[in-house]
Amino acid sequence: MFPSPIHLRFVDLGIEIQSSCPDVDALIVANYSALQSDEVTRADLAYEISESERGFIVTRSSTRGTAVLSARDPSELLFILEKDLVVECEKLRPDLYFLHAAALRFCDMAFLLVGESGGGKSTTCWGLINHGCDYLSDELAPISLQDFKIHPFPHALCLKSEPPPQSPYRVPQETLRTGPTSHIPTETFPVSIVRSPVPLAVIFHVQHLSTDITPSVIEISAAQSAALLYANALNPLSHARDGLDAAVDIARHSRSFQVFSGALDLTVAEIMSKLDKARAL
Amino acid sequence: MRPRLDLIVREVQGETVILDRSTDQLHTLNATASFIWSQLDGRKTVQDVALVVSRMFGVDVGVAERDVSTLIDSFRDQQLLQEEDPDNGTGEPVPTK
Repeated sequence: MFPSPIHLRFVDLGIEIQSSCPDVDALIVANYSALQSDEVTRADLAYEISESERGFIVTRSSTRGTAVLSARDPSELLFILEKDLVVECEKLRPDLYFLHAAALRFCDMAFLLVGESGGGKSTTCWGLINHGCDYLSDELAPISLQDFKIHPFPHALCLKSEPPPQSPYRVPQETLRTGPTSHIPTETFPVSIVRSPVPLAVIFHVQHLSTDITPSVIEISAAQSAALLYANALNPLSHARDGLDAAVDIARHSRSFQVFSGALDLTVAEIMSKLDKARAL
Repeated sequence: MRPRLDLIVREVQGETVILDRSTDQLHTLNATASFIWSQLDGRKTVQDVALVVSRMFGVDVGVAERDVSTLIDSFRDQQLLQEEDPDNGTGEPVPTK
């Protein structure tokens, strides 16, 4: 008997995932438990996952048609599933501006950590979670251009390298490891998981230089921020003037900072200091 | 000299963001560079622009001309300016390399 389908809700879209393998189900639930919903009455996107001789076959169905993907192992399965899910959601919600960014909440305001892969976003995100910031996402931030609210995508936080076991930021025992990536389940977080859109107030553009340097957080102009946002936009061409206007509007709406990150505790302290000041204004 | 017409340009709080889809490059200009950019209307020469900059920012004309010329060279290197025909009356020679 096959496991029951898993229903997720993301940017008001219903997503159904059916697999023939309990281990796959467990992996998907561990990653997407915070996105699970009992309110999905219609699947805008449906995935069927089955095992094959060479790993896994994934069949995707939507109003736009079907597609077949393959993965060699659980790590690749999670990767291609999420990549496809995000791309299809971008197509189904072209009104949203999707950014490659982590998103958290401090008091009632959302803030972004924007930067390229490997630039320290997820690690900094994990550090800020351990200092009381609520979690929206570690790598995907869809923004409504009507009200500049960030939609949450609270999957398990993914780290490419874990803090050492003696660090105050060590990962919990329940962390899953698939290949080179560690997935920290949201149930283990010491903070709330955000499930509704939150207004954006601050943007941090993160660049990790070295753990040996003293981190710095410098306020930048809206123009500089817009350029950096645009470089991390996932669906700019879905928007007017190739998405540049949207990046500018988002930057103009928020305060922006460039973060040259160093040791995690010092970097987090600098960011929290800026958030405290932003909240006070 | 004038900006290419196919660029996507947006002014942001006195600065400028320029998207060049042909090279997938994004350029940002600070306030001073944005002002000089705004003067490139296809009629003004480098000297004309330098004179305006000198009056606007209170700097020596010679210094302004040097800085304006350097910036325009940078715009050309980044391929942000339209190629001009030698006989279109702009007064600017076609850049040669």
